Amino acid sequence: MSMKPVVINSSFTIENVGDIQEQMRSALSRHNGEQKIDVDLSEVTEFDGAGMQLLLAFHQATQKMGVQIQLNNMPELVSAALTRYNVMNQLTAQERL
Amino acid sequence: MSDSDGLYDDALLIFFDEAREMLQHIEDALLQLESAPQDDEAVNALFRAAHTIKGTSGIFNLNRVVKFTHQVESVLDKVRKGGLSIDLGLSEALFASCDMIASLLGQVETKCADPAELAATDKAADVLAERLGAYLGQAPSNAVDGQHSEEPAAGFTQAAGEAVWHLSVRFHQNTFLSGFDPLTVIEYLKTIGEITSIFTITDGFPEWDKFDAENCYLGFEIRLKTGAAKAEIESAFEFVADDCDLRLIPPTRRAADFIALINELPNELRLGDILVACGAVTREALDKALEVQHEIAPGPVRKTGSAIGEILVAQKKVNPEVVEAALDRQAKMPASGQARQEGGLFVRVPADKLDELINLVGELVICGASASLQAVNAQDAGLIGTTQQLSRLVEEIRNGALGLRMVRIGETFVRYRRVVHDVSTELGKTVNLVIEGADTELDKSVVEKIGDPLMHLVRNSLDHGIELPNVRVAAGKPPDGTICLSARHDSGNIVIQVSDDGKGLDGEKLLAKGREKGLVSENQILTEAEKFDLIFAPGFSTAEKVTNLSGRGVGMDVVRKNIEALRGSVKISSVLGQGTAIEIRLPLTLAIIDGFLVKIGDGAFVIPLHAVLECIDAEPEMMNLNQQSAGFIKLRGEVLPLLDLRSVFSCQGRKPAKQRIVVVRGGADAKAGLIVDRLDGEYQTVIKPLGKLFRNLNGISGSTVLGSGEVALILDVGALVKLATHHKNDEANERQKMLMRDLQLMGVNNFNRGS
Repeated sequence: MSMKPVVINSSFTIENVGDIQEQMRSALSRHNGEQKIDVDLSEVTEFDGAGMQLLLAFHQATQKMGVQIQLNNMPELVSAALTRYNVMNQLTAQERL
Repeated sequence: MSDSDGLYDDALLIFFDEAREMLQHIEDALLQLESAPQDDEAVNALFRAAHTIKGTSGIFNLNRVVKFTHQVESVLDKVRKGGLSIDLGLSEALFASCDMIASLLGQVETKCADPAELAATDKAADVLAERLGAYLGQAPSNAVDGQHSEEPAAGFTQAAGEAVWHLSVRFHQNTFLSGFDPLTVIEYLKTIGEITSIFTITDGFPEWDKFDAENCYLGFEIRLKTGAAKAEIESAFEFVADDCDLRLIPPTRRAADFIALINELPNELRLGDILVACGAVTREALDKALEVQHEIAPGPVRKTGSAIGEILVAQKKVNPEVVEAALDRQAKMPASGQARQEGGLFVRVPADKLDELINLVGELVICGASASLQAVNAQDAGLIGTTQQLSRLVEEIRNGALGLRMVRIGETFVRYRRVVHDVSTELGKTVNLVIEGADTELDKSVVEKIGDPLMHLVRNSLDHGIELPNVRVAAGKPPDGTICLSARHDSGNIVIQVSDDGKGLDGEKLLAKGREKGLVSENQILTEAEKFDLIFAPGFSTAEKVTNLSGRGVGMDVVRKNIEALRGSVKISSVLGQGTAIEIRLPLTLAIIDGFLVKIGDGAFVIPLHAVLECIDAEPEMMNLNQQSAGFIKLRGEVLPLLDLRSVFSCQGRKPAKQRIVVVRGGADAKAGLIVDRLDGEYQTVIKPLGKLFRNLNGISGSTVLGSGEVALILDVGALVKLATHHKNDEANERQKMLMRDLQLMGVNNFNRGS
């Protein structure tokens, strides 16, 4: 029943954020009333400011539409950065709502 | 991935290049400071160079370099602020630091993975850092502990009572596109302090529909616990200065500054809460300050940042330091902008691409000459006009292409500053290095090859030339010696001179030594110049004490060999007790020469044009030729040695009734007349080196292909003049025979194809 998760490939950086955003856009337009979009981060091996920014923006956008995103299989690399920049709570708080 | 790795490697390579330049700047500035300790500009240059190395190393994650350079930078910062003056000890420590940075970078560059080597360097770096730390008032153990700790930042975090700065930074949209990652910049802050809290500001994000993931909308509120100065914190953002708005609030500032901050960022409604949350300001203080502000400035509070700024200044709420910070940044911006622009004026081109271009231009020159020749043969006026224009353009292209390879010799010269400094210190001498004509340009390949011979000459001057201070004073000279490196252009050559005001060369001593070594026979009488020339003989050394610098009897002969390999010459002049000057004459470029085409029988020869002085008719009755090929003529009352090239090169072909003499100059004063059959005029030539077999051929320096496809030999004028003026007849004959044998060997028919 749940839709296909957004799978982010290895490089979640400025090099790929354009493509990833497209992926997210189409996921958001396809969500048709579902309450949750899964984002699979398991393949991410590179993560930078652009990646973090996109994640935050996607989160903002989904939140406005009343959709929640679920970040799955978050590698240490990503979770460490999100914690370091104090945005982890923001991004994961929704899951508990 | 691999693409980005390649880019990274490329960038790293450029960085190494730049870092070397920066290290050179550091050395220059240090040397400058030795002569003028109060030179603020030099101190600033030092600081900037160290800072740039640190900053860029940070971008590339070269933590070992960052760690060490940071210590250097801190010391320099203290110097810059007047808290420390550069004395001899510090100067030496900084020189050593320079070397240390170079070796740290070198290990990265060579991808050194030997743990023992790395550890040894780290240990040496720690010792040096500790030495520098002493100047910062750091307890020795503290500094070393810091270097060893896991977290590099810890090394720089001093006592617990450190101040907490507030940094408010908003990155511009093009930050990512400029190649910066805000997170890297913030990570870098950790090298100067501890980030106690950080808030990521997402208020700048546009609506999802308008959100472009490649633009940067990020902002951060950072609390940084550090002992670093404001400039140092700002410097972390130096590379993104144009791509972000940075607001720094010093630890002592109170709520008013944060109000100003809030007012400057009117769109960020949550900012006040964030500031409270990150502990920058208390809720009470914030509310109170806002209240006060309402009283002072009734009406809309969130008008503009500047209005608030004015109010705060009027209220004396803004500390001068804040204003200074703003002015500081404004002052810095145009400067860095200009620097960037200047940097943009240069294009780094791989040398081989340039060589390829020069090579092609060379072919073009030959081809152009061939076209001109055919046009003349065809007697087509239109074609001749076009080819003439073509030749002119080709010449311009040639000059332009060669100009690309020209570099200022000054860059080579400044390298010797350090040598002079180190060696003179080691020898207990004080020596000033004077550089003249640093702007003189010459071919990069020549510059590269002249470096070592020059180094030798400079070291020789330092070691043998300049006397110890007490000896100098006793001789009535100032205690400080001077070595002068100069360069100038002189008729198609570059003349580089290394001169000193030392003790000079003792011709008699040289002669005695020469006799002792069997280089000069007992009854041989030498001119002063010939005596000086003895020092170029292999295995000749006059040094009474052998130092580790020179005096081992290898050197001057190698120097001369290297210079002659560049088609150059070297000449010594010296006055006993007053000094020595060594003059090196080199061609500007090794690739192309302007030549003078002459014909002897069926053979074509090219005489380098810069050597040609004049051409005269060869009247048989005026010439006094001996059996061989040599002789002399009286030219305006002077005796001019002659050399008959026809017999020197055993040329075939009928001898014309009237021959010509080309008067050439080989070396500085030596002149000679070369007897040829026909003058064919100026000719631009691309030098093609002779094959391995003929490399040591005397009298010929290369070959070229004429427009007709004929091969012409390029004459080595210096060697021919020597041959003509050589007063030892036997030897001259011997040489001649050798020459002719050589030529026979190479098959003169090759270039007699025309017949």
